[in-house]
Amino acid sequence: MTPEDHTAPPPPDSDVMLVQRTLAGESRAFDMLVIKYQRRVERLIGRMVRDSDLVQDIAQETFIRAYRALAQFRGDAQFYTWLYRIAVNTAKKQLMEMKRDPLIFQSQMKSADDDETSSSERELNFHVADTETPEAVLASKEIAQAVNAAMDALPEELRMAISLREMEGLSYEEIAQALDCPIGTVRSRIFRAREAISSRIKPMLERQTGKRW
Amino acid sequence: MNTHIRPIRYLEVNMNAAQKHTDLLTLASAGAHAPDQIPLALQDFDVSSSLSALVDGEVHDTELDCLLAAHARGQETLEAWHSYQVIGDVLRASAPAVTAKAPQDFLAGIHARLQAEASLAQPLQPTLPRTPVAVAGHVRGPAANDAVFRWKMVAGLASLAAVMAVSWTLLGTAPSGAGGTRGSGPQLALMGANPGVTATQAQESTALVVNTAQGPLIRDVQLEALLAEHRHHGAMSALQMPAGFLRNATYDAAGR
Repeated sequence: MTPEDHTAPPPPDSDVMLVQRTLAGESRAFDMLVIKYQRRVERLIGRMVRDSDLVQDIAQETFIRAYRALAQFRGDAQFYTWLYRIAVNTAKKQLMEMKRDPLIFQSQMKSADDDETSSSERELNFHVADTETPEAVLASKEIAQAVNAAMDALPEELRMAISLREMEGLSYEEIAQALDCPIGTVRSRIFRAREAISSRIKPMLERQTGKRW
Repeated sequence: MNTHIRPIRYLEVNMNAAQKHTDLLTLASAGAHAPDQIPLALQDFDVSSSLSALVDGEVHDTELDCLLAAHARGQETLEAWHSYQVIGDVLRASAPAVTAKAPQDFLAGIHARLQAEASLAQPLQPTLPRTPVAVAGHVRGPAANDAVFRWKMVAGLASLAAVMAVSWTLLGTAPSGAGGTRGSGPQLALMGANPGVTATQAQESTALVVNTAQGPLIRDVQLEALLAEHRHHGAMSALQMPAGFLRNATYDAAGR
């Protein structure tokens, strides 16, 4: 299988594993799901709701609803697809409740675009941010620049490995075949690439959050 | 008993898949199934490497146990996890790196709300039963509203009332007397059931059979009076107005 073969099945989904662990009582696994999808859910809701505080509230409500309904997640679809529906329904419900007050409704509502896979999704990336503070927008740009600079500074073998994984979505096995190396090597290279990039952005993330974990 | 457990360090070796699974089996055989039972020797377990693999969905169940245990021990699992997720999102341009609310605060808010609810006290359970349910011999349990609504008694009373109502209707319209025919005979023979003719009158009526060219003809005084009455009312329309599209059924017709 070549890297150009995009019909390959997706790699195993860690989300399903985390869901199963949450259902088994490991609430820490749900924390990881929250951390993973917080920014995407907030961005999604930010396309429907103008006020950033309200975006936060709806995003939290989304995760709480997801936690309550987690047992109903059968794994037929991707976890984010399931979470996406919950987020959209939660936002719509919130907007309907606000509709009783037209002034608030008009000021809060934005043109909702429910098409998750719209071609403009990537373009929306960094200018959804009338739901963000100016500081957050600036920090996002700085971190993006740092990530790209760190990618350019990576050795070729590491950059190739993490690019195939993150941008092309190949599994470790597919990357191993493409690069003609063992799977363990692929895993190691991707990890080292992430560590190298992470060391560049961690101070920026800590500065943004203002606190440690 | 395995007393020496080699820490897993993926950076040091270029493992293939078989090697990885062998090490994980070693980990599992050391009793690392439950997060609380992970041996101290596994504290050298490379959390970040496994986290990186978890981001890609390439970890084994046992390795995930170790990760969650490391998270429970307060290691900076979430910090590395967050950093890796941000890197992926930035490279894919799928989400901004930073949001208005810090992930720690966001997570704390969710914890607070969940703890405020009783749902957190009860662990989530899958909807599917863990143990197979025996189909044979299944006994239906009591209804949820049995205690507050005696629906069985009410249903029985309603059925009884319905039977009584139907019976009353049938008895009220049934022909009286032993000689009455049920439904199939001419209605003129059911004079006993006609409220306009009393039983005494019926008994006093005298029938006279007259032989004619068309056959025997029953001549009865009350029958004659009844036919005369039908003639009187037969041409009247129940609509109380002319209705050309209706043809009245009367006994006036020549053929009757």
